[in-house]
Amino acid sequence: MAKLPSILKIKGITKKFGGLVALNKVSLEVRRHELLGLIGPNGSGKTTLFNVITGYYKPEEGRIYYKEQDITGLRPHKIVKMGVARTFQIPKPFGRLTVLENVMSAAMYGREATASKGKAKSLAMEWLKYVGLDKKADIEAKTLNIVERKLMELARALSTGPDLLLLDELVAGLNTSEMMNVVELVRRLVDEKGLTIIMVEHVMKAVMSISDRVFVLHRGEKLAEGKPEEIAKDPKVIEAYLGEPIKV
Amino acid sequence: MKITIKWITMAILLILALILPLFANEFIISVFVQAYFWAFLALSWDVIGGYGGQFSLGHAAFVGIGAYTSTILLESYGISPWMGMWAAGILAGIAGAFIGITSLRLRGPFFALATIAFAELVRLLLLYFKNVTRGPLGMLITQTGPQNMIFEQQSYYYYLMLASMITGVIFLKWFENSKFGIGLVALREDEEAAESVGINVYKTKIIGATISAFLTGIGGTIYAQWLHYVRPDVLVKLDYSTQIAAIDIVGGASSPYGGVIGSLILVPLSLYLNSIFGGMIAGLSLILYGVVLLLVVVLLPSGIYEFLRRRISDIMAKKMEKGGGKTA
Repeated sequence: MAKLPSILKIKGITKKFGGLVALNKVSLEVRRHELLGLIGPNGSGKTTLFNVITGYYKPEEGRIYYKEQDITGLRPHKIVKMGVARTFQIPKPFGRLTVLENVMSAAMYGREATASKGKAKSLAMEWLKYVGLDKKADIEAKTLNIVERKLMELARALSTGPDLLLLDELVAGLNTSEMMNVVELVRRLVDEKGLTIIMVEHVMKAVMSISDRVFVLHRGEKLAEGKPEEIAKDPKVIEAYLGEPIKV
Repeated sequence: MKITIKWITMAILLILALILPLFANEFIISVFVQAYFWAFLALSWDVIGGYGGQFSLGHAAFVGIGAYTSTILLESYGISPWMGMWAAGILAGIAGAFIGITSLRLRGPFFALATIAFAELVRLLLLYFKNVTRGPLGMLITQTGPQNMIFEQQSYYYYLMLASMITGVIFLKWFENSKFGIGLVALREDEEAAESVGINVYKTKIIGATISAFLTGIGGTIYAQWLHYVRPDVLVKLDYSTQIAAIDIVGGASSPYGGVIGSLILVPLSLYLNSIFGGMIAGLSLILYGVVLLLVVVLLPSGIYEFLRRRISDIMAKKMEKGGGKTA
């Protein structure tokens, strides 16, 4: 693969919670149109890194550059408008809004921030169809099951109009066939829609099968980085996380 | 079919409301005047309290600011309340923005406490600046005539309050489907998720508080004109603030009709209880009123409107089924 210019540069990020160092001088570069898998044991700092990139946490040290612009410490809603969207590990639907309104809100306030309701609606419906939730458009979001909530949140994140999308355990809790569907969908977002995606995932089958590159965090530090097949065989990664070598 | 029934019901209710003064006596009319007034306040409160989920217990402050603004403009500068009500709304709106900026980073009960403190501050300021507000004595409205929003008959106030309330309902109908309304509900449901779609949570809350206070301030002007006087302890009291919130919650918060239903039930009830038990044992009417509030909140936690809406749609669904069964 030809080396594409980077869309996100993370330089020496340190994030502490009291005495706990959640991230220790983490540096990471993400290239355009790349699908980066972010893995590591529980508590290794994956979600914290997402929260730092998207502005929910301010890092003590280090800078984050998105498209050459320093976005360190910007408020989350500003970062969204620049084209960085995310989903949450535990979905956060707007329970008493309908599924369609949930996704429309992203079109109305996201990057384009269209004032036209018709436009927002058609964009939202488009993404709901894409994730296969269009039939549930008019029901209240709180009635969705966990899989549907995750898909709705994906559609909502997509409706903000991102170039860079951060997915936090999108397939956790899904059964195998659902998982493979979603994984394929994520891959298509990169291949067809030209997005750049970082996905945090524990399901190795999912990460290893679709990622272009894998980044491994361990105790807040970078443990390894490389192609899925390299990571799967890496003795350090096996010891810290995988337990045994896995087939890719 | 459902939609036509809804419109027919609305039209009938509107006609009934319009012709009521023709056969009701002054007392009944004045009960409705108050019910419509409180409904308008409850609808105004709903913007930030219901849709925005920010529980204000200080809305009486905005009533007071609105009432005093237009009354001072009228009595000291001869400016008609028809103009003064806009100034009242704007000043109350500024006060709403102020409390939003200072307190909306607080959550839940802490915001509610801050609003109580704010209302108390407004009451004290009204008492303190005697040369403008005439302190605890308050101000009488001495001007007369419709051009000064003073009417000889209750029925004029009746139509004025009715128009205000209907405007409030129409506003909320529009508001709840607007971009801003959806943003406000979104942040109520989940602030972090709201930020993740690009909503500036803090700013949206402040604008919500400003709109809510603006409307409440206009309500204050109309109320002052109906009372013919303003006084700090009459307008700015915690009782009023809680009543505004209670009416909206009992009727059904974050809906354009909740405030109306709540007010049409609670205001006549409280007046009735007061007239029967008010003279007997001190506080008895308040206790009974409290019991009713408690029952509604416990039995119908999402409010009367939501309860009725669900009931009606259940009945409609059953009827449809029956109808379907017959033709099959």
